[in-house]
Amino acid sequence: MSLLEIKNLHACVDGVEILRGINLTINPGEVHSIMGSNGSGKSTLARVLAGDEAYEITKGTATLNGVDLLDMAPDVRAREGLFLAFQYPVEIPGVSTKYFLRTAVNAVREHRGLDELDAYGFLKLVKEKAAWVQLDSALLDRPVNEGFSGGEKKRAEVFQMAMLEPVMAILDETDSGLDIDALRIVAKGVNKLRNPDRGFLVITHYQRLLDYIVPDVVHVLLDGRIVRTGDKELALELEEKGYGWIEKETSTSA
Amino acid sequence: MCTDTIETCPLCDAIEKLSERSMSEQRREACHRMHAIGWPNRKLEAWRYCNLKDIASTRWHPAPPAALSQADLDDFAIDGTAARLVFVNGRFDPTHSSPLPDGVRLLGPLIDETPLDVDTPFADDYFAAMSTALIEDGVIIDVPAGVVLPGSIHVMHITEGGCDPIATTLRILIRVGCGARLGVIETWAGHGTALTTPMTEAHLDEDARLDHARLIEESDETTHLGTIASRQAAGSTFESAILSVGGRIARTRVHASLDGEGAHAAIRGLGMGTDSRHIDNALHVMHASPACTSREYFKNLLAGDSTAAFTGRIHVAHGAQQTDAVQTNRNLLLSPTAKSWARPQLEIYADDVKCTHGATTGEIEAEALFYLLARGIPEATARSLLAWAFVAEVVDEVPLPALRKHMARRMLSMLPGAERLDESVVSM
Ligand SMILES: Nc1ncnc2c1ncn2[C@@H]1O[C@H](COP(=O)(O)OP(=O)(O)OP(=O)(O)O)[C@@H](O)[C@H]1O
Ligand SMILES: [Mg+2]
Repeated sequence: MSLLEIKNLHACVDGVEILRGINLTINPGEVHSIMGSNGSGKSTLARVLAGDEAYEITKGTATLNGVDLLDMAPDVRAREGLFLAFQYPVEIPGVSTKYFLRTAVNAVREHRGLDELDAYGFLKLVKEKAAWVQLDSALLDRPVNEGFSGGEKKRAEVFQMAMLEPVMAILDETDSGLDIDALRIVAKGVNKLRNPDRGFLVITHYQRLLDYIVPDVVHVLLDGRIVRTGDKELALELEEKGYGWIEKETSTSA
Repeated sequence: MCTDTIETCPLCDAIEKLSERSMSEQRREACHRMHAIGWPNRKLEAWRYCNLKDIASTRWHPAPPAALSQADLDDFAIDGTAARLVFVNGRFDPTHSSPLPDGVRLLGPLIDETPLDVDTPFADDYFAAMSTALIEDGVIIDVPAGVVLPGSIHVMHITEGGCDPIATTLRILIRVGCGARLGVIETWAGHGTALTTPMTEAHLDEDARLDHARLIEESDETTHLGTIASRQAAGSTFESAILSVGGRIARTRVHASLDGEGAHAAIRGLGMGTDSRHIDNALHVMHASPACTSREYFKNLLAGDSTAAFTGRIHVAHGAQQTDAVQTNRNLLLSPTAKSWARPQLEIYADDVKCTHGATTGEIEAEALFYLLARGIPEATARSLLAWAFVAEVVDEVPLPALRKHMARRMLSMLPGAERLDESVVSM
């Protein structure tokens, strides 16, 4: 059975249709990448899958391990194993990162029938996973994302992903704002999580990331539709030629 | 004696009963003052958001002496206090109190020789006058110059209501001498239908410091209409924290007068509104001298049909240069039917002045909520976590750790959904 299956998904915001019939199937163990110009609907797709209620779904289905995803509340989706690394992680003053993470980890563990982690077990896990992305542990003593640099926020997202061990992870431009070393480190963290049961959907503008996180499938999203699907060579082609030629081909074939 | 109609003087009974006893001159004078001021109505600016209709139609009785029904006061205890003085219906209860520390006397036996309301900033306040008319007892704290009292003095007032609605009060008179230091915590709690009108006056001499808190943890049937007045000499520091988590109305009127150069006042307020409770804070900060700083930080969490009002007047007198005043009032609405009002009023008569104020009312931010949900945190937990985060910074700045802990616990015990949060959410 496929891990994530999206069929003819349409979504609107404030009466404007942003997603206009998305079809996408990700099998366990696969890494898919989505590329596409600004405003094409990449983040919309990611947030619709994570359950952002600002979007209205007008048509189509999405399932996670065969279970209707769109019917679940966003927190249930997360506990079922869906993870979204935000394009713009939110600063939450007053909420300690450690408290937030422990609450999240234990909510997910409870859902999976695992025991709650005590303070010691939690800190051990934090230490282990923070090392994966070389996250400065001083950041964890601050409120959630507060005052983090752009790169630190992205690293922290991958760290959270490592803590929560999702079955299906969506990374929305996790590479943007990272310096070259950080990009490698973050990619290494993601690769450590790759396994035969887990799926990834990596949204990016840059082929460079895909040198480090090598995708099985690359899609091009244009104006709310997936207009082209290929292998990693497609990313190279896009890097070279931009999106113009696809746009042209799409409009002539339409 | 009192011939006013119920609308203009709902406390006729109380006053008549008082008049049957031997009345000191100042209590009699206070009764007259009540008549002269008249029952406050909502047309008066100071009472615009406070609905006093119910208490106007209630026949109040001066609280009779009563025994403490709640033997266990530990629920209100604050760790590390140096002394506990318990008052029941306005009268001292020696069995539940610790011995009076040096410099602390009871007001009751001295009442006729202690001038009250001298120079009071609340001469126009009906309930301040009522407080003096009803007064039975209180605390006089006098810390001599240079003395630092270890630990705080905890004054607990417990109302024991019976069949009749009762009115009760307590006066706390504080003087902190030059360079001396004192902590005073007031707790207001109890049972039954009551009207409480606490009044605390503090005089701080040069370089003195007073850490004060008023914890309003009254019963749901109690209307709490209190006042706090401070006068500060040069270089002194007054810190006050007002916790409004009880009472159908919890109103506190504060008058802070920065009389001497370089004095500093920080007044914090934390409120949790549930059901149809009303939280009302009216502050008047008077910058009378140069180089004084004042801070007003007030935050409320409003659930159910609760309401909150904040009135903040900052007066900067002629010549009070280098005044630095900050005032903020922020409300987080946890339900669509909760409401809040804020009215900042600045009167500035000096030119070299830094004076900022800000008032906001909002709901839980959708993006922050979505972020927590997207990490698997259940919605009720996520909402209470964000609500707690909203007020945590005010709690974090209260100087006394044990007080911080108590305030945090009280807020959390009333916050819908907070039973899902664990103790460690409070950073100590
Ligand atoms: N809440 C909203 N209200 C109105 N328009 C919206 C809203 N959210 C998204 N849009 C619009 O939907 C379109 C798709 O936005 P989306 O964020 O999904 O793009 P994207 O592909 O992620 O772009 P980028 O590469 O810049 O991140 C944009 O034109 C955007 O302005
Ligand atoms: Mg985007």
